[in-house]
Amino acid sequence: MNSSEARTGSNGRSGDVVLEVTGLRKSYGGVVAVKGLDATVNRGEITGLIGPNGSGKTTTFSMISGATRPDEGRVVLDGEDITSASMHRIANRGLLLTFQITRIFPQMTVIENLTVKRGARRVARETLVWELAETVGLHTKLDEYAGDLSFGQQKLLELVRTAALEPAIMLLDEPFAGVNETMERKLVDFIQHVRHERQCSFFLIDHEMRLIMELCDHIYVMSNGELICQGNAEVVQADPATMEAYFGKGYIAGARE
Amino acid sequence: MGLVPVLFILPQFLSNAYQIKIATDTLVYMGLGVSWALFSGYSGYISFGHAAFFGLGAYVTGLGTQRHGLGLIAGLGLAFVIVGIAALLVGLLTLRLKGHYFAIATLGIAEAARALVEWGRSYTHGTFGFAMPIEIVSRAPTTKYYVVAAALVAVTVVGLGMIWSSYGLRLIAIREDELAVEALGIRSALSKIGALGISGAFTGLFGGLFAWGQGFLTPEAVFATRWSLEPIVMSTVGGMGTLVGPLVGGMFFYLVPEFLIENEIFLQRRDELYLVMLGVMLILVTLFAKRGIFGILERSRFWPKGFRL
Repeated sequence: MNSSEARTGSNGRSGDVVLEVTGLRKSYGGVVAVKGLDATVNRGEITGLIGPNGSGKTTTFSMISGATRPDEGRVVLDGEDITSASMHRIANRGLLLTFQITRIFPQMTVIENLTVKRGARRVARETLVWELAETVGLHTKLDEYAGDLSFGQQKLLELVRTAALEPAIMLLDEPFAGVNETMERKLVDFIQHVRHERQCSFFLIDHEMRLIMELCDHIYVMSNGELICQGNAEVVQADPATMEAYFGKGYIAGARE
Repeated sequence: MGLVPVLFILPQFLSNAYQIKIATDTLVYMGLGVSWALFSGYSGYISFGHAAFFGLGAYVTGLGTQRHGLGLIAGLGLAFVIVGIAALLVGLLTLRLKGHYFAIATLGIAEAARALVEWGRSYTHGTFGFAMPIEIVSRAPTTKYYVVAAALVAVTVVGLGMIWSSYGLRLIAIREDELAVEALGIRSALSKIGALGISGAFTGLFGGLFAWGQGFLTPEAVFATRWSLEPIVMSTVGGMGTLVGPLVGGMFFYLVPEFLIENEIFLQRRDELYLVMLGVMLILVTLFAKRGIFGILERSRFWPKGFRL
């Protein structure tokens, strides 16, 4: 990594920072969903965001991606302040979001889903779109309606559609929710492929602890809108507050595989 | 495509001026349906206010020829441009809204346009209406037919051009899931505003053609609520989000009542019973054929996937 480009995040993480979030805050009515969050994502790394339901993870992603305006705080992407910019603008600067509930275009074919942004359906077959589709086996289904795909394939499609836009960073909101183990493996392999082949960074929310621990270089743990712990898998797993927030009192940190 | 020659040969087979007039009115009706579908069918943003564009087009054409001595084509061209601009403005004001708010906003537009025309009576002749110049109105029925047929071909070609291009695809994606479209970095508002402009321009053109066919304009006739509601019915019955849909639906909904009226079967005129029939038909379609007549065909396994008409 080019050391002259390296910056240090506000919370002390060193490395080449692609996304930096400081003091992010959001309340709905009287309820504070996120209470001043600081986080950074380093280039080429996979960073996790975990925490119990209702801890503010999705709200955080909404604020970063421009779907929701934060009350306070700053979001900096590649050194550029993107706080409160509109979603399409943020997307065009290289930060793309996939959703908790898969949002494909069901009445469009797979290839149409994949090329809706950049057009050029015919040439797309020979380029990155084709290569990425082939990586996950969607290349045989390009002319199917997206709505006819299985749930897992729809997840893959959403991932491929996003990755094909060559983002600097992808925010994945629960990519592994509701998929079987075979599909889980496909998703993990694809994420690793995009990370290594296309130098994309990832920030992801999931409840599948096994995968989070396996994939993530750095993990943030949220509870009640606040960061309660951060570090690599070992640090987080050894943290009593995290284990309590996640699994309730009485959980004994088990042995890792 | 093969239907285009049929469209132009048809008058040879119609026996009298009345039948040609009916055929012409049917084509205007279908044209209105297609114009509406260019925006609402593709983008999924249902407009309840296209009567505004239809009536405005009628008035621009009517006043252009009657007050300013324009020829017919100039009058229609002016309607196309002015109503297109008006639709863009309406879009700018309303289409940054997402979802249902737009539909609610359009509800008032037609009434507002009509009120505006009635208010400016020293220029528009108010509620009394006015006749278009006789030399323009008195053209042969077949001439009118061919002009309207040409307009219908034009709007259909533009519609196909849209739906087969990446622009049309983006509109369809907006209909499917607008948030996902924005998340991919597409500025959905711009796509929607542009489509409303094109849709409004053609609706204005068909409004002008309607006025020409009638010869006499009143706000009540050209801003009637039916010009807002019937395009919705045409697309729903024929196939929402397609071009064939409003063509099939438009033909069906114009010709069936005309046929019944002419032969004095069941209906004497376009009365309440006709509206009841329309309502029953709509309910049946939404219950048993959600995609409409053409939509069923399009989703059958014989139809090439992703081929849109």
